[in-house]
Amino acid sequence: MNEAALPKRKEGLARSWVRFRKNPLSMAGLVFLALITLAALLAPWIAPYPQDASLGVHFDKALSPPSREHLFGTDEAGRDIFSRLLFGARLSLMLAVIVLGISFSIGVPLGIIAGYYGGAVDEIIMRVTDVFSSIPALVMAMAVCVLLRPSLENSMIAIALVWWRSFCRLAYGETLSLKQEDFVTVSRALGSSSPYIMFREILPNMTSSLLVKLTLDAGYAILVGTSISYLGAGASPPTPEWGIMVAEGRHSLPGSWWASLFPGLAIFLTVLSFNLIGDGLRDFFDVKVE
Amino acid sequence: MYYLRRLLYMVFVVIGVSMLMFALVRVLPGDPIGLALGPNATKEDMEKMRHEMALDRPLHVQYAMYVREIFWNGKLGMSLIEKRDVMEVIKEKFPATLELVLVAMLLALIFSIPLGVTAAMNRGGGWDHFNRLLALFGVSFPHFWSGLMFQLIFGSLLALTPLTGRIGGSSPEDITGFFLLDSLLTLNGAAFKDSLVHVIGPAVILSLGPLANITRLIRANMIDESTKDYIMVNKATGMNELIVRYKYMLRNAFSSSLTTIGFLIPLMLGSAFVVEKVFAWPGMARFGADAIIANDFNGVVGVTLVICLAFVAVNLAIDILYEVLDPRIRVKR
Repeated sequence: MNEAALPKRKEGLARSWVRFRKNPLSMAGLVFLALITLAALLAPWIAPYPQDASLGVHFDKALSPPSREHLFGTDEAGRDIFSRLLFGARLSLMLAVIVLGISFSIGVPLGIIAGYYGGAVDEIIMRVTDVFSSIPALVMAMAVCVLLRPSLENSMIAIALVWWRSFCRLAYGETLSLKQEDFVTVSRALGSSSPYIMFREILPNMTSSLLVKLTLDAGYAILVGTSISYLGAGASPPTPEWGIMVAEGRHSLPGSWWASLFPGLAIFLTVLSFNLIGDGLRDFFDVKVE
Repeated sequence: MYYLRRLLYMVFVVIGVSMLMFALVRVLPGDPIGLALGPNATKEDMEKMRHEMALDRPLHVQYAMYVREIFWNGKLGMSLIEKRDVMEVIKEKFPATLELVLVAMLLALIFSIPLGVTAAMNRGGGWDHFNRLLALFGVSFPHFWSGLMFQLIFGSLLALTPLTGRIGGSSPEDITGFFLLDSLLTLNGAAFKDSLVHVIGPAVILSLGPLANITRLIRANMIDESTKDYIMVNKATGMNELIVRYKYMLRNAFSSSLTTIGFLIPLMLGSAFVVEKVFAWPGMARFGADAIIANDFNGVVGVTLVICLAFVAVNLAIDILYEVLDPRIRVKR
């Protein structure tokens, strides 16, 4: 008997979890991300020197190497790098949530509308998307951010204003194939309105693709955000933003390597965990999302 | 007919990008003139400069003037940071960026193809898992940090590569603008070695992402190919396994990977904005990053236009390459 023809087994949440847990790499990502999130939430309570994340400076302790008092050493203003990293985690995770939130709510509806209606609507929406897609996200987001005046908030807005294009393309592609399905035809025959079909019939059926994309893009958005800050177009000192911390630490290379090593490592590990989870989810749902 | 449609599409994208960026740098609230003249500039100075750069005219008039300048005089407007025409700046700096991107792409291809093929052949095994992890690492590095760490380890600690720049001694005679190629053409061994050690750092850092992407792609496409009938026939005739893999399967797997590989090039031009800053590589991307920070609006529009042209050119090149690599497509069109 043909296996593909068998009805798919309904899977409860508990069973899915068992299946997902089998992937050790994704589990490692999930555990690390949970730790980072916890650290971000509890930063004011668990940071050994919480005042160092804002205005505190101790020039007498500048650039002291990692020790028991300062786990990751101190930076050029004598601030505890570990404490600043904990507070920085808030900013990076917030950036991912805000960027993805905005770009998801712009891109997905546009993509579904373009794919569902086709014709002139499709042409207009997708050609605009093409224009946005032909410039690397980092370049355009950086330009928009500087024009809005460099700041952490503006860098989030700028990235979101560029990022919607990839959600739009994904939703568009999915809609094109989903609208051929029988359940759409049936729903239409039953007299469902177009908005109902688009957002209650088609949208729920692309949940797994969107979930994988959201996970993978969270990492990439953090990479773009920290790069913008590193280049001086985003957050400004003394914000404990990870990209800025690397930028400030580079002046003390090669002697005081810890000032740029640890913030960069934090970015790398956070992005890696999102990628590990996203990669696992991609296998789990068996979808093709880049 | 097919090519006419593609061409029209590309013209549309270029016009669209030029209009979007042109409008963006003028409509958003940044104050380029104030930044360029510094805090001591008088109101009259600023008005005068604004008038000279035609910033006091309506937007569509400015755009028409801009387009006319491109086609009549080959000019992209005055750069505020370089104090000369943007076209001149780009002409001088683009070869450096292209050289860097191409060397990085070459590195990525050299390593990713054997990695991808062997991972596909050992599907599910330890080597495959190791490969997957490697690929996920590759796309997770922030370029600015991996660049700094490369400088720290290979430049400072081991003293194997120079920290920054494109060449230490004098540049080779200018023929193509690519230092590696020019020094080979003029048989200038010293300059070749000099530029090679300089390019290696930024190229390695820039190649990590593409390396990871291509490895995964080749792996997936090799697995797709391995289930096809012609492979079974080849194997049944007793053909050498290596020939089956690298001559027959790889050819098809590579051509289905071509689109993604091609589009990595404009993406790398974007990543080069960071890498060139870290390694002080005197290319167009570094100029682009500086132009964005300094609100040098003509510089920003000029550089994005070049990147968009690269994107369009890659589009066209992929179409043509597909036909060369895959004769079936010729029949379909």
